Amino acid sequence: MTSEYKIKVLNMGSVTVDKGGMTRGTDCGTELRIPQQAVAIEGNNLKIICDTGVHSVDWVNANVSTVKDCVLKDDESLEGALKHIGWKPEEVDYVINTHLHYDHCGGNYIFKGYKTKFVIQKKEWDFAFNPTPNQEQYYMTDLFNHKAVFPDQILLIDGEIELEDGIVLIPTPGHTKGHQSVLINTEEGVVCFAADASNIYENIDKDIIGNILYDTYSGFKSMEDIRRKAEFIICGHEPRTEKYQTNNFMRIHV
Amino acid sequence: MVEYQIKMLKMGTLYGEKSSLTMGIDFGVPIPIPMWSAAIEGNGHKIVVDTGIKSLEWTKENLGDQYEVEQESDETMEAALEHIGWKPEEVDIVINTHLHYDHCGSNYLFKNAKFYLQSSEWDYAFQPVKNQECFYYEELFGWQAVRYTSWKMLSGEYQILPGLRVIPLGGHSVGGQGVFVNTKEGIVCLAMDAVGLYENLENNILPNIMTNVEDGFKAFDIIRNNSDFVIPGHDTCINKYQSSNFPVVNK
Repeated sequence: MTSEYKIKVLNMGSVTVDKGGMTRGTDCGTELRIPQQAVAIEGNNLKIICDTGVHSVDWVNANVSTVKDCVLKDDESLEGALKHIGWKPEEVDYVINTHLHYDHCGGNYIFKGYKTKFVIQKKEWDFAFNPTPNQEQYYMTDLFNHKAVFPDQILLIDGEIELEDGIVLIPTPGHTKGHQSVLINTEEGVVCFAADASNIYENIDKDIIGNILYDTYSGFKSMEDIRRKAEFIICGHEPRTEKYQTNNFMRIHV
Repeated sequence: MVEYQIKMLKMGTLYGEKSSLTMGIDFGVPIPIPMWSAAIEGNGHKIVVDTGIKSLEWTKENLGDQYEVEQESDETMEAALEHIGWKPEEVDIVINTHLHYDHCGSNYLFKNAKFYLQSSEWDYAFQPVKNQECFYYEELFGWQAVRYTSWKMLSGEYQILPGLRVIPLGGHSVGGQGVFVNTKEGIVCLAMDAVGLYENLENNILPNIMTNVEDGFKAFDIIRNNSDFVIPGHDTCINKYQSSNFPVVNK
């Protein structure tokens, strides 16, 4: 029988964005307050974190042109969130970075020197050091390179892999060149942590891609692949997904 | 070498026209087309190769008048397993040779199994060539039936267990595979639709449902080079619950 896991959603602060930045060509000029979400997965004697939030509110507010008013509550840094759910950084077996934008790898450094392996698509790693001009402001290499963690902690992968029994990583490019999503087998069915392959639920529900883009064609294809492989979705920035939510995630097929 | 026991499970019969199984010959000749699955036991495992149709009703509803379908009382997957003393939840491995509706229809029954498939067949199943669209139904193999995390997606030849491996057999579909099993009598190839009828292999005549002819002949060669016996997917030369004396592969 395939191993089943428990999931907890972690909030990594919130920001204000233009809705058109989340949904390409839709509701442009409307402000939207969104969370930045990460996921903690436990089961099969493993502790896994997907994405690690931001490293500094001040840096975000000063440097990222498409967001404003970044705020982190006490339990919304990765360290604070782990404390809240009773995990120690040294217990975490894997960190899966869906991609390497600043708001998805800002807490990688707290695992430096521990057993933790960072699982990243090779294409994303390469893209992060040499992004297209429209994405330069979202990549800060010191958040994920040898200054953040030891090089031997980094596990670069190429394509779909079964990371552990019941945990499958699938490439979902479009938002970035090497974005990946995480399929997690749970009691209720397969949950996909899609991160920014579907910023909010509306993306996958109405088939609208996000506005921060590497490739349009693969963006649509990635959402199609998620529909084929999962029953539930956790997005990267969906306001309706609750902090510490553990079940009843949004259904993809309705 | 570990040896396995094979038992053939009959999943009903379609009534069709012979040239659909033999390219270019016997047009218009009516024949019964039994649908075969196999139960394989050994090495502490219970394995099912192909899972037949979902049900008689489903098949009638979705195939319309393309074929007439019949199923005897012990020819549903559940009843056939019960007949040999198995419960679906005891099956730990399911191998789909390909994803046509008559080979994965009862996948949904096996809640505790890992499912082995060529990843090229998965991709193809969502975008088949036009004349095969009527054979693929996402509801039979997609999230509705099998959790994606229970699939083992393969890229090429793979040893699932000692004495039991799969080898890609293309032609009939893009990502087809055959199962090569070590038994007391020798290596048996569950070729299924790469060799719909024994006469395909024996007379070097391709099945007529075919994506690529070269791949189809290549599959025949792979079977000849790697097995002593062959199990065709739709031949009346196989008997219900047959467990030995399978058709011989002539080199």
